[in-house]
Amino acid sequence: MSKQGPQRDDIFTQLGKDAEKVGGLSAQELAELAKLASAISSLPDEQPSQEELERGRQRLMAALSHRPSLPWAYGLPVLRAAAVLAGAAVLGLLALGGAWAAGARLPQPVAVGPLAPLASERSEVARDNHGQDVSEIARSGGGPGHSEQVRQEALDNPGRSGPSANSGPGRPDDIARDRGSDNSGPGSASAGDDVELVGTVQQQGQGSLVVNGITVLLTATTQIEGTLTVGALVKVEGSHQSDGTIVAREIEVRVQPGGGVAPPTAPPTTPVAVEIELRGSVQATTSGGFVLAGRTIRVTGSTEVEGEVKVGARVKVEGSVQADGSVLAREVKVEGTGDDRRGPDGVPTPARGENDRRGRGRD
Amino acid sequence: MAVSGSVVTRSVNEDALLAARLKAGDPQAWERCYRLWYPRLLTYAYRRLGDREAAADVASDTFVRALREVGRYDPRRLSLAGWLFRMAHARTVDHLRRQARRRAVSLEAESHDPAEDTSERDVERGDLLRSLSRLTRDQQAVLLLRFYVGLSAEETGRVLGKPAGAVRALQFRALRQLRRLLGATEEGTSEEE
Repeated sequence: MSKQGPQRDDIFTQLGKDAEKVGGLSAQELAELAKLASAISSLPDEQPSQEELERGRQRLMAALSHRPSLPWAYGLPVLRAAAVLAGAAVLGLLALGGAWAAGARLPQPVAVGPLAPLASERSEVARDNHGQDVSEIARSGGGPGHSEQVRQEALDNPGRSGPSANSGPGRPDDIARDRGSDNSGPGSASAGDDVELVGTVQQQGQGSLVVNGITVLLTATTQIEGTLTVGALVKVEGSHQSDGTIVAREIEVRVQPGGGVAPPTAPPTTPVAVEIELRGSVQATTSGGFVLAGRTIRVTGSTEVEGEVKVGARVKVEGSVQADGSVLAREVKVEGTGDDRRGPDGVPTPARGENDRRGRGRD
Repeated sequence: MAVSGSVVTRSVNEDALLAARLKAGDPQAWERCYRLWYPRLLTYAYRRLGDREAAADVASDTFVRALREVGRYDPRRLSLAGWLFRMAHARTVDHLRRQARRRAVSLEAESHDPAEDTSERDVERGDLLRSLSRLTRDQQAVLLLRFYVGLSAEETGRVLGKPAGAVRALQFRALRQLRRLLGATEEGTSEEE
């Protein structure tokens, strides 16, 4: 294998910093010691023989094959799906009991059509308002998988297009909003609302998860209880964003893919930075940045800005997600102005925020 | 709708991604991890123990232990390298404790006879290894972890169970001692000549 030890310049720099903290080293002595350290860093690896390497590898693979959770991850998808279904059913019963105890309106039974997703892929979003109002996401679009509550939402808001109109499974537009919340857009939940999502981890990405088709973003302050793996049944608490994602405040692994209850893990001490890239039109400018896709973008002195950021301008933002869901921009690039955004008749098309404001005005 | 709102996320911590795959029991991830780190773990253990067979056991045991404990591994606390070497270090210390005395074959023993080295570089390397073997165990560990493995002072501290400040002080004491030993070696060589 190639040597991956630190480079000589790095060692000198690192030793210099260490020397400042320890003290008592002259520049000449530091150079001598750095040379020695560099010699250690360039010591060659012991090259294991092929036989030795293979013996260790086989031992590892044998241990891996006897690992209890392995079949759930790779070997037995049918049993794994059955376990997840069973787990979902148990959790559903528990949730039903909890909702009953909290005096919430119980969701009606959901008919699952032939093309509807598996029961385990149905998800529930309950607003964190002490069980007063429970909303449900029906991921099966306009088919028979709609819940009574979703239909009731459509009836209560005739001016809004319901999830059955144009939404595929798992789209953010499928989120039914609870009564009394801000009607800020067609078929979408209000950005920043506290939501709770119980579902199965379908994908695990870098700094994000997909739970029942909904992207869940992990931030520096996301508290994770248990070990996140694909197939695990999790409860996510966080804030809903206008782009349909959820910025997770807390994730609890309830059932591992193997069906067992997730063991507790040690609390994290160092946060994981989550990088994010956003593209869209600037909705509003603020004193410390601007608003893009419903998300507050913070621009600081160290942010690289290319072009003039103004309302309507199409921009690309790279930065890191902060604890409050805002994005600390590292780079902002203006990819076009809003002036060229015109409809078929040559009339400039209003931005989403403008539409939303007009909609609310009519309400 | 003017906002396309496409979101692409990526973590800056590659260890976190690999750890997730290791936790999921992904054989390819384990294979990759093994290929990447086995030689370095072997070398670290060999430099500490001076026994190739024991070193291979330590390196191999480290992975089996890692497999058992990966569920508790938190990449936010320690890098993957730091985590693996912490386990390897613990096994090495256990092995050293079990030894009634240090074996005659010490750290200076290479897989070949240093006397056969002909190039100046090989001679220097042989001197370096001999001198390293004469340092205290803590001094050897801190120099290998800091400069051979490339861990930070903080991570080395977590591996050795010492504060980062103590690691920094120890590394300078070790480097000074190493310089003295190598100086003595050079003087001895020039006297022979």
